[in-house]
Amino acid sequence: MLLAGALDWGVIGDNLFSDLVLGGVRLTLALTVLSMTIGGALGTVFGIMRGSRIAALRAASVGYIWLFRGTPLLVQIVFWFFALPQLWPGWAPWNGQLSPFQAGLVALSVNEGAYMTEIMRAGLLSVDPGQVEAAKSLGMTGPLTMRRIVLPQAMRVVIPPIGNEFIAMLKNSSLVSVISVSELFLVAKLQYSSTLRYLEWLLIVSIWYLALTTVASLAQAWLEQRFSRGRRPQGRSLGARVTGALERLGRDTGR
Amino acid sequence: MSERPLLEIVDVHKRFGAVEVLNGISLTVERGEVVAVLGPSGSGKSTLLRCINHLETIDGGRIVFDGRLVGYREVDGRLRPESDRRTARVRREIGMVFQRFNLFPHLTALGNVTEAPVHVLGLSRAEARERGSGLLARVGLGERLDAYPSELSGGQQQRVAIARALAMQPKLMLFDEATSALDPELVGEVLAVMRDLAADGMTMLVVTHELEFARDAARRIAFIDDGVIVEEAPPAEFFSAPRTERARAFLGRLHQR
Repeated sequence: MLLAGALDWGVIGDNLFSDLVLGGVRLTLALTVLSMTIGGALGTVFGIMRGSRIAALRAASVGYIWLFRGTPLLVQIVFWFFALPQLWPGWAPWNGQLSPFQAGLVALSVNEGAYMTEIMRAGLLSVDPGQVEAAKSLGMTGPLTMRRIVLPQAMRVVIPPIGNEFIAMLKNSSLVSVISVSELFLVAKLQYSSTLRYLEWLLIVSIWYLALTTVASLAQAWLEQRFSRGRRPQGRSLGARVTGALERLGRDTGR
Repeated sequence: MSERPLLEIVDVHKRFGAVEVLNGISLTVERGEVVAVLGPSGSGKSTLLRCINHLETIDGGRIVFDGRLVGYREVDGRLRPESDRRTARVRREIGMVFQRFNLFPHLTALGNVTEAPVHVLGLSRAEARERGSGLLARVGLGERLDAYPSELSGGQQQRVAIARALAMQPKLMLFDEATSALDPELVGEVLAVMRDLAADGMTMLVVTHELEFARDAARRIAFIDDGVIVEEAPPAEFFSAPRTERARAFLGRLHQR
């Protein structure tokens, strides 16, 4: 056993910021940000449909959640890449197949959209119906009321669960390694498979995942603070505390 | 054209399930007139107000505001639901003040007042700010433009709500128990603003429990019970010599308190 017991810090040091690893980090970030954005848009649309007066729209929303929340993400990833061309040959203009990145992005987005639909629904329900009445009484149309009055207030409620989803997505995006998208985990996998430096490479990716999730948590705290405007003048939220701490830090170093 | 009353309510019926809340109400409001709507709790006063700007649908009769139906269009003599966009257009001209204020909590006082003028009327931000800060000054809140609703007292919030409605330059203002949710010591400041508006010639339909306000500021009292208008009279007449037994009973109960 060539490597038994020996954790080689040199491997970590040499590779933590190598182009290979940074490339993986970039792809992981791109997949996460893009799929959360698309999933958020899908969730907003289906979440609004869920509360619609039109039964067909409500049914479509329920069916969407049922299908994509009820099947494994891994199955969905493989479906979009391998099974879609079989189901519907020549559907796409380019070779009838999505690239691994495209298939992975679609899978993550559509899956995320199902969870986001439920989150958005909860957020929309949290807004006092009196808000809609006030907006209507001022001559605002339904879409304008949604955009200017209801959604901004729903944001306050949905940011914590969305932060959760974002952090989950940073890690779940590693599942697209099965269709050969060379995001952070696949980079490490290819390396430990050939060098057998499992521990070192798992440490490298874990350090990166922890760094990314830490930044995401701070961003969430900041956003919570921003969207609680007018709600908590004293600011007892985590967001307020982090922002306050950062401001104090800034003041102290400024002196 | 402008000879026609601003608001004509004709034989309006409204049911919630099996409960008949409005049972054939007819009421006319002339331009510049202040009408106070009185009546016991659950008599249908608030529902009537909410039907006028179509926050509630109606099950019969018609409501004509400034020559137009609100929330309906007439097809072959029958009323059909009107589109969201056209209903919103009519609502611009009807201001409403709610019992629970319903200010937008994510916007400042000035933000509340400028929101609809900017996004509904298409005013520039500068114009809307000028109009909005003028109105907030008029209701005595010129110093609190940047305060969020949660930083204001109930009376201040309700005054912002009145300014918010006025910013649309409505032809009619509806007040739905505007002082009922306020602490007693804050009622006066809101009533003062309402009196000021009435003196200024605004057409107002006021659902209220404030008899003193109704007596001093209204030109007419409409007394509602069980979903019908039982008695309609000038305040002096209504308060000193109510014609109906039900009005006498209502006033008697209030005086005992």
